[in-house]
This record gives sequence, structure tokens and C-alpha cells, in this order.
Amino acid sequence: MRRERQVIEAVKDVSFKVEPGRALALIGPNGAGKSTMIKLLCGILSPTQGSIRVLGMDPFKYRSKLAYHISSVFGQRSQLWYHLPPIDTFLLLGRIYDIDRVELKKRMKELVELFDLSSFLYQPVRKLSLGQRMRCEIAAALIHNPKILFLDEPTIGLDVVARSMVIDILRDLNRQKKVTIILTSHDTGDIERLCEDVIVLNEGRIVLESNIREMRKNFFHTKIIEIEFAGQHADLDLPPGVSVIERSGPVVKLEVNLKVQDANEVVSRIVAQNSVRDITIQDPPLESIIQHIYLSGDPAGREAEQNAQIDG
Amino acid sequence: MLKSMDKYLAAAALSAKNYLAYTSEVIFRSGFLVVILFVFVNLWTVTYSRSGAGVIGGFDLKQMLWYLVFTESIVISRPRVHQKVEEDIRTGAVSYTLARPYNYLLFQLSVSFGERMVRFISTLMVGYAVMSVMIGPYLPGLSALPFLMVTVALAMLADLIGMITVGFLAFWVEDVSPFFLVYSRLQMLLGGMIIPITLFPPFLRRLSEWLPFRFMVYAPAKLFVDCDITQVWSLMAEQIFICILLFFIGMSVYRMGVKRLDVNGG
Repeated sequence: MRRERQVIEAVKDVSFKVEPGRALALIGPNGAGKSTMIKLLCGILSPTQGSIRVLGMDPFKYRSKLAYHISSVFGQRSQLWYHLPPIDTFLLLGRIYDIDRVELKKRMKELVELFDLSSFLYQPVRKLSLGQRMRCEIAAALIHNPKILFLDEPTIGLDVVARSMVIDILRDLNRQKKVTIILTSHDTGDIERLCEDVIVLNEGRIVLESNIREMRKNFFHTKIIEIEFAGQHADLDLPPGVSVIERSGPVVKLEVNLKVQDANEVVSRIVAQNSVRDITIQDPPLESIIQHIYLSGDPAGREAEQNAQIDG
Repeated sequence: MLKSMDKYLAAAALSAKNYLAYTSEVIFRSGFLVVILFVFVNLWTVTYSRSGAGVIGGFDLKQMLWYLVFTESIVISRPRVHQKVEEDIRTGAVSYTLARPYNYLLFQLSVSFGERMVRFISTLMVGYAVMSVMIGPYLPGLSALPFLMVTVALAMLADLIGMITVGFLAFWVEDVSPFFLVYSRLQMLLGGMIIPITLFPPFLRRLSEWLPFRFMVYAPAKLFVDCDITQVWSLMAEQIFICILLFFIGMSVYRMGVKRLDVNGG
């Protein structure tokens, strides 16, 4: 019997640069290589080929040195001590990162205010809600004032309110304190609220690297038009490329294929033919764009280029 | 050097504080000790009375029983650090610690040492109370106490490094419990937990002297019942040497393991 060895390339042909103070989202389906990428950037794994520079250092070679300048939060792995209050973990981390006592006190005061931790700072972690724990987790990761914060699924399992609070704090950190954020998440809402740039990974390769706003613009195939008619309306005379996707009393939702039809023309036509109380034009959710990129067999860049030409 | 050790001392202190939350487990374990001590008292009382000897293997009956209180307290207080390390490796959690500015072995050693100190002190207190009721109290010389504390600490450190090293085998195998079983049984038998090594037949005694286990169990317990200040310095030197040797073995195993680290999940 011989054991067969199979080599799986978790990430390959990946090249990108993140400017200081930016917020980048790494997205992709399960097994796309997002977490591997974070581990490579933190120096946990070493690439078999190619090179990585984080703050000018090879993260694998200078892992210990780099540890003082970066930090990471892995949604499902806690560094808080379960039976002790969060303050104890903060104090220990202060010692681990060799922070001067005066500086540590000042830093903790800042973080307690920023994350609004004062009401449960002295309560055992086991008694905290998931949202409170995650706030403590992120505060703990920031105790040594890192320049880069890596977050791997930081909002996993959180309810809407807790998630929103965590994302708001991270956005403040990024926008005001200029902490560079590199985040993986399956939640496109989080990504859209927090990040300016996005890298879409699939099967270990970058399928798209873009600014989120640009990505929205370039990948739009459709727009959603929601119309509330005033009273009864006759059957809509819809032009080609427009279809009804939902109908609920006087409210009708239409999907306009932008390759075939202009959304403004559709609106003008409906308003001219009917009595309308309210009308809104919406973009499709980011999620559907990303889903489209995952499923698309064509290279994403080329498709984006084609769409850009259509828009132009 | 002192500055870099500061984080490990802080981790040990925090671990001790954290473990105080497990008071019910400590009481349960100590309850088990009461049963063991009851058996030992009866067993050795019969042995000494039947043999007619006042001293066996350098111990009189009282010393023998207090020796056993001490060895049992050392062994029972052992935390499951090998399982923690095994779990860290199996789940990939060990890889995340690589990006933190501490040595994984030293950090686990500190955490388990803090926990073990709480367990050891509470177990010893219960054992001391029980044995005092059964055969009367015993007070080691005050001058021996500082040496005793250092020797106990070194014994525990050596044992914990050994256990962590056994845990590191999880880099290669799925389950380290068979290896730990061998390690713990060798320690119980050849380390002098049940019988002092002075009672061993010559070949077994020679074997025990070549192995590190006697420094983890026998040596501090012997010092507890018979503090020979003339030998204590050489004992501590030997214990320090064992700790350093085991640390280097542990670090070598860890480094080899980390090279082939396979992080679960992606």
C-alpha cells in the first residue's frame, strides 16, 4: 500500500496591494481561500511561491516583530478568559504586548469608551451576550494599537443590532483612527457599510479586484423599479427587457434589464400612462452581484469591461 | 530576560485566578483523595506492624504516610494540559497563536502552572487535614519551606513540560491519550507516587534514577518529610537541568510539528 499525496493550491496567482488606512473585504464562497489569505498575511502560513510584504516586512520571517503592529480577530476563536471579566484579559494582553502601565491604562480608557464596555467590563465573560463578547474581542485585539486589523468573519452569529454596532465601531476605527482593515465576511451588508475595496476570490484565485462602488456600477445588469399606483391600473404595457417580479395590491415591482432598456425611459413611460402615487428605483442587492460573479463562467474583468462599455 | 518573562508570570497568575472558578471540581478531586488516603493508612499500618520494622526504605510509618499525601497531591493536581495542546493542534487553534508575541510552549506552561498551583494547594490542604485527623499533625521545619516551595515548583514545571510535549505528538497522530497513558503510568510507578523509590529492587531503582520522573514526584515529597539541606542544592540543580532539557526537547518537537502544520478549515 502506498499513501498518495495530493497537492491542493489553496491560493494561486494572487497579487494585490492595500494602501494604509483602507478597508478591504475579501469575499468568496466557502473554500475560496479567504482565511488562507488572512493566515498568509498574518505570517501564520508561508507561501510556497511568491512573496508577501506587510508593513514592509515578510510576515512569516518577521512574525514576532510584526505581531506588535498587526492584530487579528477570528470570529469563532476567542482570546477572552471565559470565567474572568474582560478587564483581566486586557491587562494580560497589555503585558503580552509589553505595553507600559501608564500607556495601557490610557489605551484601555479609550477602548472602553469607543466600544462602550464600561457597564460589563467587570463581569465574567461567560455572563456576556455574544454581541458584548465580540465588542470585547475586538477591543482586546486593539489593545496594542495595531496599524492593521485582520478580521475573519467578525459578525458571525451576531443579531442585527449587535452586528450593526460592531460594524459602526470598525468603520469609525478605519475612517477616524486610520486603522487599515482587512475583512472576510459572508455578509454583504457588513462589507458594503465598512469596506471601500473588495477582492472576490474563487478557488484560490482573484476573480475580481475593485472598488465596491465601481463594482456596483460595472456589474449592474438590472435595476428594480417599485411603483405604487394611485387606485386601479390597467394592465401594464411593458417594453422588452422589463418584467414584473412582484405584485401586491397597488404596488408593482419591475426588473429592468439595462442591456436592453433604459430605466429612466421605463419610468417616464409608466408615469405618462398611469396615475402614480410613488415610484422608487433601486439597485439590486450586492449579494446578487457577488453571486453572479461566483457563478459566472466568464472572467469577471472582461465582463465588467463589457458592462462598462454598455453603461458608457 | 525578566521583562520577557513578565508576560508568562502574568499568564500564570491569571490562570490561577481563572481556576478559582472551578472550586466544585477541586472539592470533588479532594474527596477522591480522602478515599485513597484511608486505604494507604490502613495498608501501611498493617505493613509496618507485620514487618516489625520501624523504618522501611528510610521512612518511618508517619513519614511514609505524609510522603504519600504529598505525592498524591502532586499527581492529582495535574491539569489536562496535554489534552488542551492536542485540541489546539487538532482544531488549528495553535496556528493562530503563531501570530502572537509569545512562545506557545511557555504560554501553555504558564497557564497550566497557574492552574496546577491552585489545585495542588487545595488538594494538599484537604490531604493535610484528613491525615492530621487520622494520624496527627505534621509540621516540616520552617527553614525547609523555601526550598520545598522551589522544589515543588520545579517538579511541576518539569512534569508540565513533559505533558505539553506529549500533547505536541498530536501534530503526527490523531489521539495522544495512549502516549499520555504510558507517560503517566511510568511517572506513577517509577516516579515514586505509590511507593518511594528507595523501596524498589536495585534494577528498578537504577532505571528510576536514569529517568526524570523521580524529580517530578519523589524528590519534593522526600524533601517534605525529610529535609536534608545538604542535598537540596544539588537536587534543585538537577531539577533545573531536567526542566531545561525537557524544554529543549519540547521545543524541538514543537518546531518539527509547526513545520508540518495543517490548519483545519479555510
